Amino acid sequence: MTAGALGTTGRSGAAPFAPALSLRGVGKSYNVAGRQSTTLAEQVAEWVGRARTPSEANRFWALRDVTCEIGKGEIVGLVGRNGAGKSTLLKVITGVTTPSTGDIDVYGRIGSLLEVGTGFHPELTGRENVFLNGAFIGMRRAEIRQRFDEIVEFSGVEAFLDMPIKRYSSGMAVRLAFAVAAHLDADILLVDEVLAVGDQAFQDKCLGKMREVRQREGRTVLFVSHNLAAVASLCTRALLLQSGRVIADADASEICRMYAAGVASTTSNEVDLTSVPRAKRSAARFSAVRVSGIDAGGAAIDTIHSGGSVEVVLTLSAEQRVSRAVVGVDVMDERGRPAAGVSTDASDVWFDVDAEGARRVTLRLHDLRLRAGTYTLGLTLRTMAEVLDEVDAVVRFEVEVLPDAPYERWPGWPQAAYLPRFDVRVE
Amino acid sequence: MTVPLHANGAVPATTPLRQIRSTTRRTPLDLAELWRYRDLWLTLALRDVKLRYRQTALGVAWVVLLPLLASGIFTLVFGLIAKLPSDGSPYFLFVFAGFLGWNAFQNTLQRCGIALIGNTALVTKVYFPRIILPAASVLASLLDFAVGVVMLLLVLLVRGELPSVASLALVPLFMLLVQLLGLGLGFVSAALTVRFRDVQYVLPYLIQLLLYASPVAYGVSAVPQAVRRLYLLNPIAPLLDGLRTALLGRGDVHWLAIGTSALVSVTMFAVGVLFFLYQDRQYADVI
Repeated sequence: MTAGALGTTGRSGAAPFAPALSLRGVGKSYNVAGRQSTTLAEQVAEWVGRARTPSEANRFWALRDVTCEIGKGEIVGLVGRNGAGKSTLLKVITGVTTPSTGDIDVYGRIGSLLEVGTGFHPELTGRENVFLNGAFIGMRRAEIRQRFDEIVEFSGVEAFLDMPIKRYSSGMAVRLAFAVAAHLDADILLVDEVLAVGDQAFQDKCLGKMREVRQREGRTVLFVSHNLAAVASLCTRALLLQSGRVIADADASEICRMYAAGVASTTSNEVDLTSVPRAKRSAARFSAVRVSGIDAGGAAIDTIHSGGSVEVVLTLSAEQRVSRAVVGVDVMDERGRPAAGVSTDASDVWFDVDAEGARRVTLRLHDLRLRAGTYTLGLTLRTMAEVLDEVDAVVRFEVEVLPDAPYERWPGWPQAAYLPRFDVRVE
Repeated sequence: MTVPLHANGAVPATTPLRQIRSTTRRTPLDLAELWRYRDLWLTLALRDVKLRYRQTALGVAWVVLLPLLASGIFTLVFGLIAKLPSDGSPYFLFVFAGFLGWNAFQNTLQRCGIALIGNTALVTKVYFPRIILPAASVLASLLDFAVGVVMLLLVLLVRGELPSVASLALVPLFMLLVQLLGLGLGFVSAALTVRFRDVQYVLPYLIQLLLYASPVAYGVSAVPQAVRRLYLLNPIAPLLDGLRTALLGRGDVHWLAIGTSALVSVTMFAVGVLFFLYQDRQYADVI
């Protein structure tokens, strides 16, 4: 067997290749010009008028021309920025949505790990939800009954089994969901960004389970995560996605290096804030913001690493003169809880903005030791007397954990976003 | 790229368990897959049953109370005030028996209608044969019906008017036809509601209208002979009339009309399934 016969997949070894998944020219497009959902009256008007064929310009390709073969027993990571097409790829493979182009062959039963809450009903108890969740991913009731004790033990929520799931914490719910999926006898397991929840011990347990599953049963796993450390340690191979295309297909650690180095980056984007609705008019406001990571040499890079530095460049404009203004930046986690914050007055920096004038304020936040995930910025412009402008959650960015992060363990529960440096002494 | 992968002959080309093609327009009716997912149907149906009266003070008693209340109101309005004939039975029992069949039809149809849009998260995130969602509404309807039938028979027993076994044996057959009709219409409305939310506003009115065009508050015998043929073209009418006749054990079964209704019900069911499958590919994108 020659390397050429294996195509671009970069696999090696003498074992005969048996496919688990085969994708040929798979693409998925959405019509962005017309709304997808119309009322009956609008639809009738369209039928009477002309047939609705969205022009190529109105099509958004969430996924484009993906061709690859994934072999039995491989653990493949999917890496890419938000909107790169990772989740769409998983949806197309599971059959949740139909591809617009191309074909997929699936050799075996697919199980996908559901997002927290998707397969759960809040009013049902933990026990009932195990059966419901199991049924959604295609398990038989007898199969669930048989493995019920194992599932419950793995989840560690025995004590709450007869409590409605609406009273569970999200951590407990996700543990139960993972426990069900991990015990599914699927040939191909799809895992989408679930390790973001749960404490470290449970995450370790999940990663261990996934390795064990693969070694013992030869199952195939497709794994989406922003936690590059997990991808590098768990996966044998990874695909790097950008704007719906697979731009690299190689060894997992190689892909993580490429991604971290910003190969997948787009040009750093400035967000226009002038059109964001405000509650009131004021003398001055934010007009634009740009967020980027900065490397050790101080150059702007597109990925933001946990423990690295972030540069926030704010542009302000004033209608009337403002004196002694202060700018504050809060970093908020996915649930809108503040994780870190800075304010210029903490460094005793106050500044004036002339009428019809503008200012550019550059803030660098260093050693931002946040857990992997999506964060948003809360921006505040104020004087001693009043708040002039507030913009929340318009700017979002991803924080990734590098494989060689300066810390190995990441605490979870309670799920604090910020991890300070610390010492510990036990006596 | 794919050809050389298997070309060395060492690996026998296995057949894929599932083939996803962008070119097929309609999701094929895969009975084997539906059979594999039969436990999901059961689990979903049980979920609906369990959830209905959870966190209510009266609990399961509502299954009994709701048809009693509806029958009470109808007895007051149509029995006592409008004095509609009830073919020899006490009006309350007459209308109660009518409501049993009607509710089984209406519950299935209404729950089907919201089966997809009420489970948006599932439809956009998880794969399973979608048709299971509306189909799962049948069980709750049938359970309510069964409870109602037991109550009715107890009352008839006390009154010494228990219908014959031969008469009762027709009940499951008529109920099957009622459910086929309800599901057929339900599949269509479930699929349409995904695109046109208008359906969920219009449907309750149509159902209300249909209630008065059906033999619930009155019997078919009360319909003037001149328009009775036309009246019996409403496919649910002969079925509800047949159900009540079988349950109360009095009156005649209009077999010709029921035969026509059976044909319509089966056809409607098939059309509903096909329509649902034709729309299947867009649910996750449009919902």
